[in-house]
Amino acid sequence: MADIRCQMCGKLNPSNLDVCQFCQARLRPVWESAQPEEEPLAGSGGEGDEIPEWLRSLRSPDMGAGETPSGSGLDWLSDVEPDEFAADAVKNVFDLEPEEKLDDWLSGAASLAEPESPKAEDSFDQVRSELSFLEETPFSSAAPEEEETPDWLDRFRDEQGEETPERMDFSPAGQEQPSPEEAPDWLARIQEAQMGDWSPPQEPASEPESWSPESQPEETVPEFTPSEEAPGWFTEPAPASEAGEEAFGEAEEPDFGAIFTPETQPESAESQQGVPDWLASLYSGQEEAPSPFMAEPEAAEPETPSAAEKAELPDWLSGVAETSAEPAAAAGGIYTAPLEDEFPQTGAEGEAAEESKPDWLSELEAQGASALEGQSPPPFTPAFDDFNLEEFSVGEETPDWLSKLEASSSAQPSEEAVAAFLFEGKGETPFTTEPPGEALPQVDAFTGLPEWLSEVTQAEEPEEHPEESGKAQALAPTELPAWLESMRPVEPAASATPFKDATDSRVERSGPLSGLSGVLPVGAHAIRAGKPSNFSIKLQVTEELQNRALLLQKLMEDESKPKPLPAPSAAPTPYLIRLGLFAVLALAVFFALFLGGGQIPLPVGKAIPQSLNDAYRQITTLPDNAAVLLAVDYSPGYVGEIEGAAQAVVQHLAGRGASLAAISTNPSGPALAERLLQNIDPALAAANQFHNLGYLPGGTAGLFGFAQSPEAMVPFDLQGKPFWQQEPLNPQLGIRNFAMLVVMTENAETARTWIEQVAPAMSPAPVLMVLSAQAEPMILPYYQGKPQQVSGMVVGLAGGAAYENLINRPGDSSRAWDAFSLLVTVSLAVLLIGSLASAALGAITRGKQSKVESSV
Amino acid sequence: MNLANISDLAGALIGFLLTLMVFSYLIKDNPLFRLAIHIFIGVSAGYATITVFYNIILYRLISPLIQSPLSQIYLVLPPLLLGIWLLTKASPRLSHLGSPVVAFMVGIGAATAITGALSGTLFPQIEASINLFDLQAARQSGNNLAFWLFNAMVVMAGTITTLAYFHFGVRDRQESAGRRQPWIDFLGRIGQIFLVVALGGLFAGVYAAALNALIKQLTFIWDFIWMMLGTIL
Repeated sequence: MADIRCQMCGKLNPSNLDVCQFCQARLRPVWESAQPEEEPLAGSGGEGDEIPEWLRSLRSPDMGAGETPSGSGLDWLSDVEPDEFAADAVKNVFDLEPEEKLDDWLSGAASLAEPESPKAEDSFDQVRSELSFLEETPFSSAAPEEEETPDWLDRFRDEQGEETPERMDFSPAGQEQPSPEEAPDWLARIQEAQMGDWSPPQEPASEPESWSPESQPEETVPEFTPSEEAPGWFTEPAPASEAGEEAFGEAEEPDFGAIFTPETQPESAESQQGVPDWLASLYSGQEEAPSPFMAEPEAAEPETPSAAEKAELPDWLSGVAETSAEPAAAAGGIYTAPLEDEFPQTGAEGEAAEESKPDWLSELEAQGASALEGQSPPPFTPAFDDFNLEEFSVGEETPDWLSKLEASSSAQPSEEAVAAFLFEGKGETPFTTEPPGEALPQVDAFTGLPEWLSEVTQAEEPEEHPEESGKAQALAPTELPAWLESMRPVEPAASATPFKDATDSRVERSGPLSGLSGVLPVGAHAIRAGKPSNFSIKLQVTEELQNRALLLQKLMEDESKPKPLPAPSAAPTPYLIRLGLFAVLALAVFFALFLGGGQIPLPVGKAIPQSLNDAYRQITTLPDNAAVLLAVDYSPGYVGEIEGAAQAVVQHLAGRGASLAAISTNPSGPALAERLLQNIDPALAAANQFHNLGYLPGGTAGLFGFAQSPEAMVPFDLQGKPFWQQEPLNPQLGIRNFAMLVVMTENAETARTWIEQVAPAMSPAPVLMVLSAQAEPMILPYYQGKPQQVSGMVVGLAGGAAYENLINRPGDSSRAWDAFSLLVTVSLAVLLIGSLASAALGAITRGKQSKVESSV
Repeated sequence: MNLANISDLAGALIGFLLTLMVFSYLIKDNPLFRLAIHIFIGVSAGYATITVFYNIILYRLISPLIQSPLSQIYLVLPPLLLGIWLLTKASPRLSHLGSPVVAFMVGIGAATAITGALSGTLFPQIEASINLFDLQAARQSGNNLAFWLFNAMVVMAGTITTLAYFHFGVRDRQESAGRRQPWIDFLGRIGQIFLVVALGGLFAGVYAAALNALIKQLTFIWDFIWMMLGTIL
């Protein structure tokens, strides 16, 4: 089948589509697509007299022949029942009698003249009769009618000289369609629709999905067959013309130009092959044809058909043409053009059409005329108020057929126009945009162009239409009676002009509000004197942060990288080095021991540190029988270093006749004190010159408590004897009974604790320290500071050896002095050698690495 | 060394063996060394336990509790109760009972330490640092005044720079995030030198103590061997 051209985008679409595949616009009306694709009607081409199901559905079983079918696609037509019109006057319009209706409407349509002011009496009937073709016309699937067709239609066929069917069968299957290449586009679409794309809306309950003419009951449907008087445009292809190919706009405008152009308009009805006379006559003298798309109804004054044109129209149609002069736009988007405009006929044709006017149409005319007596149709309101063809049209130029159509259509909305369709409720029309409750749109099918056609306005004359519509709608003022005038509500006088504040006469001179007064003044403070400072939103990253970030990144990268195995070092393993060092040191010691000692002189004179001399002096100046407190707080591991010095000091104290009391904050202290006593002179204990007070718990707090209350802290010695009641101690003196404090420890903290907690309580008793070499740097400030908190120190093996030399009592320190001196010497040598070797190896390694890096 | 008594001989022998076992660490870590270590720790802990029990619990808690008259028992009860509560710290369920005791002990210890540090170390040392610049005392001591002042300057510089080294406060500024002030950083670097020297001296003392311990043990071994040889021979 021929493709369908979309009216919106102008592109061809398959015929089986309802919606454009490009722009999604509808290709055919809704009621067409409601029905599935059906086979061509069997009644086309004169075959079969069966009434299509949709047509039968229009007429319900309860309805008679003269009743209007309900539930059909044009139900809205039947529902239109304005108050001004009698329902009966319209009802018969849809009383389908196939044998008569088609012929009648068609004959009546052929006799339509230019749109004129319709008569109120018969305009509505004419409109309805005209519009009844919508049910039966090429858009319907009505079976072609084999009976008589309008002569004008047949005439068209004969004039064409082509094999035309006897009757113009506008049913989808019954008509012999001209070739798509020859027929105008709009006609081609109609023909295509007839061939099966379109089917009238049917009642869902009663309509079968598939319809075929053969299956239809023998209900005759008015069949339109073109007669010799049929307009040529029905049977002959449209002349090739540019306008004809245009559907709307440049590419979309229908092909009416081929039909309605004056050039193609036949001079006479008989000679008119392409354009019917009635249609051609639309452009001959009617330049104010209303457009179905215009915003307002045309204001063109209705024109009555000329006498010549009247002679061409059938009688029944000519009367309608005189009365109906409403423009198509005035019909509210509904076809309002009189049928005579569409189907202009010459005199002969008009007469023939008048003769072939169906009875039902006549009846409608009569009924409508009677119903319209004294009634005024509701005001006309266009359906597309805001529509403007200029906006809709694609091209700038309006096709000729359209312009002529508008020119020929001079029907103006008239108050006396009769609506072509009656509706059940006001505003219930599918073609009108009028909101419910308002006046029904008036449709004049006989005096003006079809709604869709009459609303096509001229692009170059858009300004006329609003004026014309304004004029048309302008109501003549009337004079109200006085009593009625007095009842007019007094509206509050509204000020025509807005209140103007005259206090501020300043007029703004700059800015967007220039020229206006009353503008708020802009103060100087509102204007920034300077440019605001710019704050960078860039992240401030310092160099240190970047370095840290790089470091973190490097760490993260190194985590994934496999670490290379360290190369085996050429140097000997640390195991051998360790053994070698031990061997060297051990040999030195054994050598010194082997030599028996005394090889290296003991420190004397200035070699003895001052702290040792002070300690010696303090003990030397100690009173006789003085009590000395010995704090034995060194650990067993430092016995070799401290025990020698401690023994020397204790021996010196014992030689001075001091009463010694040993106490310790270390649990192993009492044992060491006993060892010390045994090494010096075991008889001291028996002479009650040495007392072991045992372990003093509590650490710092214990020392503080001992310093504050020694008897309470240590009431007994290790033998269980009460110490503080023995001579020469005085229980009342407490810690002050001791003339000297000797602290023997390797830990600097212990020594500091004794200095901080006990020494202040024993002041001014001197405090001597017997320390390890590792604690000397920490305690030396107590000795060197002023006031002096430590009176003397004996440090390590060297101090012990020196003190033994001072008291002239060689001991373990003197014996170990040779080995100690030899080991220190060896150690210094090893350190120096090792340092030099390490530095050399490091330099060599760094050199190699730098070479490798430089080479890379 | 007098090995007349068997106990002394046994003691010496055990000492000798333990010494060798400890020296075996020179080769590598071995069970003998670990045995010797364990013995040392065990003996030390046992002796400390016995000493504490004998010197404190027995003589200062149990004996007074038994022998003291009832009018003086109140002097013993608080230490007894506090000691029992302190033992509850070993139980997770009853540890809350020993918390007050621990708090009491910690509080007293902290107070004692702080007061002692202030009065016994901080103030005297500050006074001593100031007195370094006492020229009269320098003259009285008969020392060279220049040397005395130089010594004082060095001591004060060392003191200030060492304190600056331990200053880790930084300014809250974006441009110097995580950095000290430049002059504090400079002083800290100088104080770092003094710290290095002080730590070197401490290390020397520790090394000297270790050498003394080595000499002591090697001497013990030498003496034991010679004694054994003398005894045997």
